[in-house]
Amino acid sequence: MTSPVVSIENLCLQLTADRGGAPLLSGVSFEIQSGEIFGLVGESGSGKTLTALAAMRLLPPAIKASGRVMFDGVDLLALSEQEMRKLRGSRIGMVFQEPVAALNPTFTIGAQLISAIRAHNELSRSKARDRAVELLEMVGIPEPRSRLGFYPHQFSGGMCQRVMIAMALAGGAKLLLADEPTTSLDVTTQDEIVRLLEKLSREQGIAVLFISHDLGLVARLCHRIAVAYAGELVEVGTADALLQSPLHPYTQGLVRCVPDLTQIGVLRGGIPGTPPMPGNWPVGCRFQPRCLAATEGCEQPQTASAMGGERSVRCWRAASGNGVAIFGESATQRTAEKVVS
Amino acid sequence: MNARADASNYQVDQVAAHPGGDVLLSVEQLSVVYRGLTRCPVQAVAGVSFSIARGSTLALIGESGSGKSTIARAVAGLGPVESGSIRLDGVELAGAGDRAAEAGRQGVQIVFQDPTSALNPRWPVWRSIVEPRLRERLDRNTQRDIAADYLGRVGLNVRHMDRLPQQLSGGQRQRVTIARALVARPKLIILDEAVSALDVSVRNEVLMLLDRLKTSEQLTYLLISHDMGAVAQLATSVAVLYLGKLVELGPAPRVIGQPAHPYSRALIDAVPALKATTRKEAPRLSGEIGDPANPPPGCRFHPRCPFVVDRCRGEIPALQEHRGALSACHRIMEIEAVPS
Repeated sequence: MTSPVVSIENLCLQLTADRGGAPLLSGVSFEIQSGEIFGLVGESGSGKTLTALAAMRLLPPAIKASGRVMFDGVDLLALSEQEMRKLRGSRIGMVFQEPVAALNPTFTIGAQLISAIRAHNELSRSKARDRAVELLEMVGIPEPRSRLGFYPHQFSGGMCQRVMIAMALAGGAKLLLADEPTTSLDVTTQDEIVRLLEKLSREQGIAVLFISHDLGLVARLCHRIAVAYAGELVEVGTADALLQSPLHPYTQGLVRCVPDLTQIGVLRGGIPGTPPMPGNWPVGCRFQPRCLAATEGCEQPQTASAMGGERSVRCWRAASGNGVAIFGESATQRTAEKVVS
Repeated sequence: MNARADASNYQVDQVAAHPGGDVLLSVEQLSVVYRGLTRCPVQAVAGVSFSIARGSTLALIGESGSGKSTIARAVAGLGPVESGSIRLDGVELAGAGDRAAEAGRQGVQIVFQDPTSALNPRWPVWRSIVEPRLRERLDRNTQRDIAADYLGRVGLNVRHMDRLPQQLSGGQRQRVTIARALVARPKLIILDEAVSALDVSVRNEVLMLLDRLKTSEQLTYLLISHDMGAVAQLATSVAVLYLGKLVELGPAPRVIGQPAHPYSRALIDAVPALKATTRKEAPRLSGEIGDPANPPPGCRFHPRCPFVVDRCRGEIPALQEHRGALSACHRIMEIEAVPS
């Protein structure tokens, strides 16, 4: 068994005392292997973006982190800012939601890409330029040499996101944190970006943390998925297992929200209520106020129970063996189509 | 049970032959051109015709730049119309400015994507809701009664009356904008990405509400969405747009469930969704949507189409009946026969 590229252990985030001290993330643990795409799914306020920012040590000063983020044998949370800076953008890359906003509109694609390359490699300008062409080619930009002179506004959103991915990988990243990288893109472009990530991960053994609110998309791309709700992981498992037999009532509700194009004109219903914001988390099971299966025992805080294989669930009723099929769909046989490049 | 199974009301000719009838909105040969001072004119919508039967939901789908929002804005009277006709219940809306069009347009309301920017942050909820009836100069108590009534219809209650938008969740805010649209007693509501900004678990709840309101308030919807889950749940018919032209139009089960046009097939296939496993693999798209200022000649989709032949490059395909819908593709018969 190879050791994972990154291993997040009991990561907790909290606002500092002068900001009220509200917890933002409690006890998040998962690991990602080389060449694996790990999906982190959740709604607004679930803590999915904070998880990535914490791993990158990009949290605002008002948030303090505890736990460990082990990358290559070192705890990223214990590194000095100087040591961390060496890792950011070289061995750990990050891609964000708004590719057009992430690029500087006043510099050419080439200038930005070359400066990213030279920040982490001792290369001459012309060597860096060759490397930039190579990277653009790798992310599927046609005629890469001439495109170096283009400004971001001359590129579409999908092309800008390809450039961002090229930039994130410029330093030879082993871990890529992708935070909603396709959310602002058209579905056709999203499909291409997702196929690109899949290809890069497979060919170069890059571990990818893919953060999204879209369970359907994540299931299409990822091997394993963690579902976050109100700062906790409520369920972890393989994509197929999660989609076919979701254990946690929240996962069951999310699966029901995945578009089903075999059932036209059938209203599927969502989950009553709204996701709670940090600082307003319910006591006990945090999903309990919205859970249709809530009963005596749910007012206790829930712990994650291992369910065999790679599965774990944070719901005592689901863990008790009988399971809860709140939305009556846990037995249906449906799978998401996998990306095949 | 309704227009869903009835392919006849998608027939443009038939709509032209029988104005009125069961058709609420009929759009004929609509063209929209944006003219800037510096750029060459952009034809965002080029000769689009469709109609919506009373009580049904037509979804417009397509990538950004396909013209779906432009059509919505033209119907709502918020955007320019170059030529063509937009008739709501027989009243022509396209010749903007005159009284009849203004009056007719009161039957059209629009719900936008972002409820936060659609509501005045300093107005309590009740005031936003009664805004469409402010000109009636009702007294405050009547206004509050109206607001309370409509809050109930959208699944909120009097407790929310005096709250400010910031004190509500995103889903609740969108319910408020829906209530505001209802207060105007519209015949047609344009849902312009109305659920796209909501959290996934909340989104389906709002779709349920919209479906309920359609019956209880006797509404007809024009749904603009890139969210195929919303389209699959709400739409009775679907129009697929590419670079300002209709490429496919028909009942939702046919267009979403069994798309025929190469663009529809690729678009729907790209959606991460649960699909029938027996379905044929759809053609993959290459490249990106073209520039509407300089659309390709012939079929506008030809530069990206995997089935392109010479004819597609020169001759504009017309919409023709195919398997119970209208598709604009020269090769529709051939490519459907070939297992791709």
